[in-house]
Order: sequence, then structure tokens, then C-alpha cells
Amino acid sequence: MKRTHTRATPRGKTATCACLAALGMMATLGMTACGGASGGAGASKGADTVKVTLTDQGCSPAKLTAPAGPLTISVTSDGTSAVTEMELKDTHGIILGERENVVAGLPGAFSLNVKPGRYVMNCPNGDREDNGVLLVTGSAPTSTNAPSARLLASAVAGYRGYVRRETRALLIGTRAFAAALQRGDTQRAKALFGPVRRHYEAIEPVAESFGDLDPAIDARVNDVPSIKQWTGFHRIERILWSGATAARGTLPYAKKLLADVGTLYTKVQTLDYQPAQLANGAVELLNEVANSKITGEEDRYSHTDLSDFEGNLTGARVAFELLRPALAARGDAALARDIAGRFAAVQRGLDRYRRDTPLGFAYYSELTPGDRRQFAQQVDALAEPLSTVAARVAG
Amino acid sequence: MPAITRRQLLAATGGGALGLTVGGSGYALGRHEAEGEGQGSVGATIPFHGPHQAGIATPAQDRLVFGAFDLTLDSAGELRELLRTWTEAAAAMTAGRSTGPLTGAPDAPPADTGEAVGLPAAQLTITFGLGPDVFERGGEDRFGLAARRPAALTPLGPLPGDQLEPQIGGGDVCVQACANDPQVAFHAVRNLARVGRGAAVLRWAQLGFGRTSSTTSDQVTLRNLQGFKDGTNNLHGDDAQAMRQFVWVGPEEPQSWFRGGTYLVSRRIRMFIEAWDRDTLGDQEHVIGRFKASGAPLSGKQEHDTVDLSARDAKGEPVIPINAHIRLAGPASNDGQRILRRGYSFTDGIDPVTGELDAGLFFVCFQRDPHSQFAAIQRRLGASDALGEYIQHRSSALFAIPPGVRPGGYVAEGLFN
Repeated sequence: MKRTHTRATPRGKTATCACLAALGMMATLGMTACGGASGGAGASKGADTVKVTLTDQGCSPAKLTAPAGPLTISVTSDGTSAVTEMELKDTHGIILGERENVVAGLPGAFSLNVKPGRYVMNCPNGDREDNGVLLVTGSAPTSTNAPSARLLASAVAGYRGYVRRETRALLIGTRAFAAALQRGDTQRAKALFGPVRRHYEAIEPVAESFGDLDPAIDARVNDVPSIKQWTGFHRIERILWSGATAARGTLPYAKKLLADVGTLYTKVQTLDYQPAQLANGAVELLNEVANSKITGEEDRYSHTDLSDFEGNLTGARVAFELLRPALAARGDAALARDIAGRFAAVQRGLDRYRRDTPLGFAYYSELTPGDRRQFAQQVDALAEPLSTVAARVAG
Repeated sequence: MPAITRRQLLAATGGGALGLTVGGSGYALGRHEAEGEGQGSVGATIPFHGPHQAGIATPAQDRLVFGAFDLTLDSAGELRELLRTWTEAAAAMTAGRSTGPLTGAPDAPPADTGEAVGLPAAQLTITFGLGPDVFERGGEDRFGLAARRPAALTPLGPLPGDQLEPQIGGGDVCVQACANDPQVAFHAVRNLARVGRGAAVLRWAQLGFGRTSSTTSDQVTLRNLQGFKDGTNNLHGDDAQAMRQFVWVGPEEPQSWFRGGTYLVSRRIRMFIEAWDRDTLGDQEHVIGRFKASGAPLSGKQEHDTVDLSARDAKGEPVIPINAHIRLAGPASNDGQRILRRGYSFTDGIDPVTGELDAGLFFVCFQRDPHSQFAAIQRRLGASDALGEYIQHRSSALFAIPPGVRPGGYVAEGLFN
């Protein structure tokens, strides 16, 4: 199912200044074709707003009208526990926009650009769907540079495949890691630690979307409320690198780690993404680099941070490259070139630390203070324009 | 390196007797006495455009955030783009506006970081400068601009008493943000750093919490962290003739684009607070050459009394000791040279090595020629100033401050034409 996320409104051609894409002028260029009334909370300024209440019976009211153009649908709950989400679909059943997890006291909203016509409002309550109708009247200016739905769908499909491949490699690697620990082969387990984790680091934001899975797999000792709740790679890392020759202490954690990675693998098979999630995930990966890899906090016992760094960087670049055709199609080729150049600059720096070892990289302790600082600055320079991509591909 | 300690100096000059003079002044200073208007106007704006950049001759505000950037760009064209972008942002912020709206697409970061929203303009000024490395670094003409270097923009070189930490000195481009609200000043440097990402990185930054200089004739003189009035005889920005004579680069400058500019020297001067605080009042006053309470020179009664360097006491000793700070720093000892000081007190917590307060004066001055003005004065001070026992210069930076920006123009526009 092609899921066209149409949250944002049409935008003017954005700044093409290659080196300074983050300048505030961008925000003033958006939203030129709007229709009047003020938007709801978190909504785009200038959009019309319609209000929908979730009830046991579904969407209320069951029939709404709105003028064509930018529209914000504000969703509140009347306290029903049967209905927690609202979708807007076209007459072919394609979801154009949605808001999930709306409960009493926690309203939500979503925005989209609607053309004249008839739409289906769906507030599913388990046995009754598609109870509402939205009629859009008038005529709306069409955006000349809205990202092509086909290019975005292709980006999402590509990313879905990437996440599945990385998760599969993670699962296979974790099996080998756990097996080595089971055999008591600590040398082999240590050699596998960095290369196996790298697959996790490449897709970490996806794992983070599953609540407890990321902490179970990847928490550091200072991330958990009590050390008794500490599991995952780093728990095993601390034992392995504490000088212990016996791996027995790691076995319960290895077993749980394998189970958690298995759960992740199962979940990503059916997971779908919004284009903006790819872009936001890429920024999150770079934040990971800046906040925990360059500081050496991530792998504080094994010092395999640079391999994780490479995983974060590659995962971010893959997401960006997948979005690049859609960016180019909407006139943001210069921005894309700038971002690509900044990815390359970080990569060149990191490549100087490649080593012909099982890990593939030098240990963190070899990273010079000057390079630490330069990496942080280069990652900041990259993440700043990258942070503007999500809004450009969101609709 | 201070060769003579304060106590040795006192013994040498017979200055112990001077202590009597001090006690005799009987001056009881309340905290708010004589300092009525320490706060500048909060809501007002200082025009960004004009023949000279703001933040030099304009009244010194209460707060400073100073940022020095290294350029990571590759060409003069990119530098021009950066300066255009920064100019636009600076013009907005000094007028009390954000760099962009806080509302907009929820999927995009807001254009402005937001912490100054709702705060007044607070007389914010943003002053830009270019360091020597922009024109030549290690013999390399990085951006093809070597032929356009302002005549006096050459490194100051080592000066007596320097204990410099290179990582907190130098830099390619400086941004001096001054305001009467610290968050307004911080917001300025933060947002310039943000819009400059990819083109420039912060090399070092310094916050200053209290101005130590009066830079116009109607400002009262405030006190530095040593508790003394600092800058009583400072140049005043509203003294046009003195500004022409000592601060603004004039027609003698071969680089026509730089006429109307000036040079900024910054020095992070660490004060050894603990040692100073246990020094006697008389000794402190002899080190400075002024009375602590009144700010008057030891040769006078009132703050603004003329400094009489020739005055001698009953024993024939100089009333203002030969190594007193005001004697050595003043124009009479420096071939008539003067500088416009615009420094701020700072503290960065404690020194991690000693646990002592890491505090002092972030000294900023402006002049037509940093070599014949600041450096010449500092060469004398660094070698002989009695104050040298209680302070240490830990950083140094030199920037050419281009002339002012015309409406629609940008900083250092002439450099690129």
C-alpha cells in the first residue's frame, strides 16, 4: 500500500545558498497559498481547521466540509477507549494523513493540502470503519514542486529493504556472538562485538521507535534506573573487557540479547515509514555520533566507538541518498549537493582511522583531541542542513 | 614576568607611608552610592548601519558574549556569502527581531532558536572583525585576499608577561555581541554560529558579565573585579576628534576598503583573586595608582582629577609609584598613545587545577594601529607593571574591524569589490 503522507503545505522554492541553508529565510518562504482561518496547535499557520471528536461511534461529526487548500484536522477524544486514531483517506482507501494515540486530555492534529472532492474519515472502533465524510469545495492552487509521491514511495521502499538487511545481519551476528560466549570463546566474542553492533548502530532510530527494545539492547550503565535492569550489548561488554576470562557471567545477558534482537527482526518485517522519518532518523544518527561516539561514551570498555560511528554515519547517509531524488525533483538539488559534500567530509576524516583489523577501525583511544573536535564540528555542519530535509519531503 | 613584587616595590619607594593618605580620605562608599545608573537602557536599540560598526564608539552595554570563529570554507566568494548572511541576521537581531519565525512547518527546526523572544533589543550591538589568518596563514594566501590586507593586521607577536593558551586565542572572524541582557547577547552569537555552520566553527567564546569601561562621557565609571574604578581616563566614543586621532583608521590606510575601520585586541586577563584579596588596601592602591573608594588618583581627591605623575610626597618619593598601573598605562608614559578600552569582567567558575576562582578581565580595546598602541603599551606594562603580580594575560587575539555597513550592504563589502 502506498501511503502518501501529506502533512505539510506547499512551499515556495527554498533557499539555494549551498553553504548556509539553515538561514531563517526558509520559514518565511513557506505557506503562501493559504486560505484564511488560523491553525490549531502544532498546525501550519494559515491553514483552515476542522475539528473531529473521537467517540465510541467513530468520527463526530460524521460529515464535514472545508475549502480546498491547506487544512488542519484537529482531533480530540471525548473519553472513548474504543477509538484512539483518525485517518483521512481518499475514495480509493489510500491514507492521506492520520493522527494516532489520541486520548482524553491528549489531543492531536495533522495538516494536509486537500483538493476539491470527497474524502473518507475513519475513526476505527474495532467493528465499524469509514463512518465519516469530508467534502472539500472550491479550487486549490496546485503546487508546482511538491515532491513526487512516486519518488518518496521509492525512497521508503529502499529504506525498508535497508533496515531489513541490516537487522538480518545484526541477528546473524548476534547469534554468532552469543554462540561464542556459550563456548566460552571470549576472544572470538570480543572480535565480534564491534562488527555486530555496527549493524544496530546503522538503524538505531528504528529500534528506538519500539519503546523498550532500544534500552534492552543498547543501554549504557548510566542509562538504567537500577543496575539490575541493565541488559544488552554494553552489559556484556563490561564483563568481557573487565579482564574476566570466563564468559559464564554473560550467558543470561547473551540469551536475552538474542531474544530482543529477534523481536526487533520480527517487528521490522512489517514496519512502514514516512519519508520525514527517514530524514529525522538520519539527523538522530548524527546526534548519536556527536553526543556519544566522539566522546567515547558509547563503548567505554571496548573502545570500539569508531566502528559504531561508521554505522551511524552510513545509516544516515543511506536514508539521505534514498531521499535525494525526491529532493532534486522539488528543486532542492543544491541543498542535496551541499549535504552530500558534508557527508563526504566526515567520511574522509573517519576513513583515516580505518585499520586492517577485524573491527576495521582504530580504537577510540587513538582519536586525537584535534580530530575529536573536528569531527564534532563537521557533524554539526552536516546535521544542520540535514535537519531541514524532513519538512521538504513531508508533503 | 613581574620582576619586583609589590612589597619589594613598596619598600623601594618608601610607599608604606602613603598608607596614611589612604586612611585619611575617610570615604565611606555605599553600594549604590555614585553608581546610580549602572544599568543601561534595556529596551533601546543601537543602529546597526552607519559609517562605523556599532559596539565601538557606542555606549558600552552591561553584558558581553564574544565569539571567535575559524573559517571552514574554501574561497573568498564563500566568505562573502557568510558575511552577507551574518549581516542580515545581525541587522535583524540588533533591531530586536528574531532571525526568523518560531512558527512554521512542524517537521522543520524553527528558524530562530527562540530564547530572545519577548526580550527587548537591550541595545544589542554585533561587531564583526577579520583576523590576520584570513589574509595569510602560514605563508599561504588562503582566499586570494593577501593583497587586500589592512596595513597593520600583522600578528602582535609575544609580549612580556604573556602566558597564552593558543586554543582560546586568535581566530579568523570575531563577533563581539554586547547587550544589556545576557541572553540577548548569547542568542546573537548562538544564532550566528548556527546559520554559519559548514562555513565557520566557533574556536573560542567568552562571556563577560559586567562592563568595566565607560565609553561615553555620560557613563559612570564602573569597577573591575579588583574593586577599582577602571577606565576613568578612557577615550570617549562621543569625542569625535579623539576617535579620529586614536581609533578610526584614516586616509593614510593604503587599503581604501578599510578606511573607517579599526583594530580590536582582546586579552583574557586572569586575576589572581585570592592573592589580591589578601593584599592590603594601601598596597592595592599603590599597585593601581588610585584610591580604591573614590577612584581618585593618588595625586588628587576626585575621580576625574588630573593624574599628576610628577607629584612627590614629603620624602620626595613619587606619590604615584613608578610602577603603578596608571602611570605605566597612561599616555604620558606611552608617547601620548591612547586606546579605547571596552572590556568586561568574567568568571568561568574555578581553575580545575588549583580550585581558585577563574575570573578576571576580558580586556577589549580598539585603536588605529595595534602595534604602536596596544602592543607598545603592553610591552611596558608586561615588563614593569606592579599589577603584573596579580594578573596574567592568558589569551590574545587581533582583528581588523571593517568600517560600518550601509543599508543593503554587508560587513567588509569593500574587501570583495
